[in-house]
Amino acid sequence: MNNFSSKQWKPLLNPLLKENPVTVQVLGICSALAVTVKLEPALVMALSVTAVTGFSNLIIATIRNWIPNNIRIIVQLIVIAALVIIVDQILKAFAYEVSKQLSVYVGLIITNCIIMGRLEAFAMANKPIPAFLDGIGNGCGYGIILATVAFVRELFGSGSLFGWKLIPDGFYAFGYHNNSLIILPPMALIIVGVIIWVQKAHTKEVKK
Amino acid sequence: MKNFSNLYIFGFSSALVLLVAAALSFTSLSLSDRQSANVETERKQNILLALGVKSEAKDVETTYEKYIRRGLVIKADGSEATGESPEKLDTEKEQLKPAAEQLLPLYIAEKEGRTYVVIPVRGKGLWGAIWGNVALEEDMNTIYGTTFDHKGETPGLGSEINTLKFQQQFRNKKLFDASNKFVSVAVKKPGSYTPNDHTVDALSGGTLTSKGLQAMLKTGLKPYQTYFSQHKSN
Repeated sequence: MNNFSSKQWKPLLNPLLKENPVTVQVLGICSALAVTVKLEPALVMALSVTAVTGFSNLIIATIRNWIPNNIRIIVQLIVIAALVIIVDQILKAFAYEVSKQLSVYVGLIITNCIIMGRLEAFAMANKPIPAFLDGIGNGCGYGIILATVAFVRELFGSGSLFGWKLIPDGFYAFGYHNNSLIILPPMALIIVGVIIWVQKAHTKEVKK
Repeated sequence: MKNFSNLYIFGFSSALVLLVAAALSFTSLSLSDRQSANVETERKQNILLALGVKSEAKDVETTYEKYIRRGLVIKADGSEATGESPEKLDTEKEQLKPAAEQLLPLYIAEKEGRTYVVIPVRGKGLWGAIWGNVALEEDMNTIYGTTFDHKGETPGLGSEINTLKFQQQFRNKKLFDASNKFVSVAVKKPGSYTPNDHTVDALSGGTLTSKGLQAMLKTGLKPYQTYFSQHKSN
């Protein structure tokens, strides 16, 4: 694996922070707000999106030279839709409870802007392996943000992590309350905003 | 970018669609057993939940055996229909039949020495199907517990029918009035009625779901009247 220089890992590592799909490319915000009340569904959602971005990038990059340009969007959509249905079916079979919590949002992965954005921007112009890495990287980048938001929201909104009670009962006796505002979608937007702010403040590259 | 002929485009898209269809059919076929097992588990969990028994997916079978004595199918005249199983009965189809010909599923349960009947109900909400289970006490009049669920009611509004808070309101409500007439349980706007045995609070913002639920209870439980009067113990 020596010939795998750092340049070749770039498609995988860049989207994690520097070109994060949510905070930098500002894609896929809608589902980031909807499924981040609890950690578990957020992680399952992130995993599903990663699988779909990875494999749709791989498939589209493999057949990119045979796709007629005038129907390329339709071809991309068919591949994405098929993968999303497969993921949905797998969830229904193996993670029924979580799939019920995610309900319509699994189906809505089809409309997640990250996926088609990456297909158009990367997979249509690159070889299958880098495209696959790019897909996985973007999925993980999305996952990191989802997990962070869900961590904050579950901890302060429900006093638990992965459904385990963390805040001891004694705290509540002293008048501590779970913040029910954090459960609501607008608070997720604010948390995402704060993450973007922190990231922007730390990034040296300032585009002018 | 190369220019492709129309023929190629048609060929390419047909091949792609066929390939995708094959992949999807394969996934669906190979997973359908597991999926229907999950649905069955959930159905049993919901029946148990109407009795106030919580069960985990892995031990639902043993819990179900422990509480549910038997499931049966009855006719509108209250007699038992032989050779039918309540699990396989398609309630949706039955509801389309004339009242006299309907077959009705029913489960008899025992908990802490008392007998209950659990009746699955099915109806329409605002956006799609809603369904649930109603557990009745031995007098076939008092509601012991309920569960409701839905396919896609508005999140935060109509979807609240599957919350404990909404479902617990039904406890101790009565289906029959003092003169033994079937009145079911109505779902009304809070504050618009004086508290009584036949009314619970509707969901604010979920008016149409609440109305659908009220209709579901009425049409779902009414056909059982004859059975109730034959089997009630005071």
